[in-house]
Amino acid sequence: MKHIDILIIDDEIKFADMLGRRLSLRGITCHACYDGQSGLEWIKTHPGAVTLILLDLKLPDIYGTQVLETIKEIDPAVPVFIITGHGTREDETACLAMGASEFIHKPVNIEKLTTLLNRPRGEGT
Amino acid sequence: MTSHASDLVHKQGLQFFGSVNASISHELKNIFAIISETAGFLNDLTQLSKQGQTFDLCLLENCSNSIAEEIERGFDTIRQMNQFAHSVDDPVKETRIHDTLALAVKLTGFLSFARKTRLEPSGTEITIDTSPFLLQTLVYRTLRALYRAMDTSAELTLTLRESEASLVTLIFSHDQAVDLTDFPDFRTADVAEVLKAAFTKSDTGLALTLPRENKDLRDKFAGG
Repeated sequence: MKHIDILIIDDEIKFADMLGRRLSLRGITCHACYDGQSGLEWIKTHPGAVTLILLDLKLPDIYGTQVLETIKEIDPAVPVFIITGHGTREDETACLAMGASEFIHKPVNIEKLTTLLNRPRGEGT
Repeated sequence: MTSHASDLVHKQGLQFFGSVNASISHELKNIFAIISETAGFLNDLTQLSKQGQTFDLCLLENCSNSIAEEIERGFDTIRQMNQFAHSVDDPVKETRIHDTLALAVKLTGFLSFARKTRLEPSGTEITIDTSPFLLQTLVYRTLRALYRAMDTSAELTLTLRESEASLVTLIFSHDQAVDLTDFPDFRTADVAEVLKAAFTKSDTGLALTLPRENKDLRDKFAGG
C-alpha cells in the first residue's frame, strides 16, 4: 500500500491532534496547522510533501473556501477534503465546484475516512 | 415608536437568533467531534491492548481529562444559550449592561474569527431601561464587525462609563488601527436608532452611547 502523508488544517487543536493520532494508528502520517495562513505557508514551504489535505471551513483568519482556492492555485493536483461542523448545502456545492474532492461533516467516521484516504487518485480524488 | 421600528424588532430579532443559534450549534458540533474522536481513540487503544500491544497509561488519563474538559465546555455553551434565550422574556426592562456585555463577549466567542476580548469590571452596577434583546443584538453586531476588521493578534477591551446622568457609554478599545469605514451597516444602524444609541469612531476605538431611559420603547412594549 502506498504511504499516505496528509495535512490537517483545523483551528480545533484537540480535534486535529486526535484525528491525526487515530489516522497515524492506521498507517497515515499526519501534519497539522491550526489556521489558514499557517496552513498555506506550510504547503508553500513543503511542495509535494502531502498526498492529501483535510481542511476545515471555519478558520479564525481566512474562510476555508479562500484557503481552498489558494491551495488549488499552489498545487491544483492535491486532493482536498473539507471537514466541517457547520457546512451548509451551499457551502458543499461551492467547495465541490472549487475543486474539493469530498465534503465531510463532523464528527468523522474514521473507517470511512481511512477508506477514502486510501482510495487511489483518479477514483474521485 | 414607528411601525418600521416595530418590524425591525421582529425581523432583526429573528435574524439575530438564527445567527447566534448557528454559531452555538457549530460550537456544540466541534465539542461532540472532539469527544467522538477521543472516544474513538480510546477504542483504538482497547483494540491494540487486546492484540497484546502496550501503550503509555498517561494516554488514558489525557483522554479522560480531555473528555471532561469538553463536557464542561459543552455545559458552559448551553448555559450561554439558555441565558441568551431568556433575553427575550421581557421586551423592555431595567438591564444590567455588564451582564449584556459579558454574554455578548461569550456568544461572539463562538465565531471562528473571534478575537481576544477583555471586559473591564465596572465599579458600580450600571443599569439602563431598554430592550435587553435589542441591546444584546447591537453589542453583538458591534463586536462581530470589530472582530472582522481586526487582525488575529489584535485585542479588544470593553469598558463601561457613566458619561452623564442620563447617558451610559460603552467603549470598545483596540490595540491596532482598524478600518471601520462601512460600520455601522444599515441593519446595525437601524437597531441603534431604535435604542437611541450613537456611535463615535476614533483611531483607537469605538464608543457607543446609550440613554438610561428609552421612553418610546417602554411605551411601545410595556404600555408605559
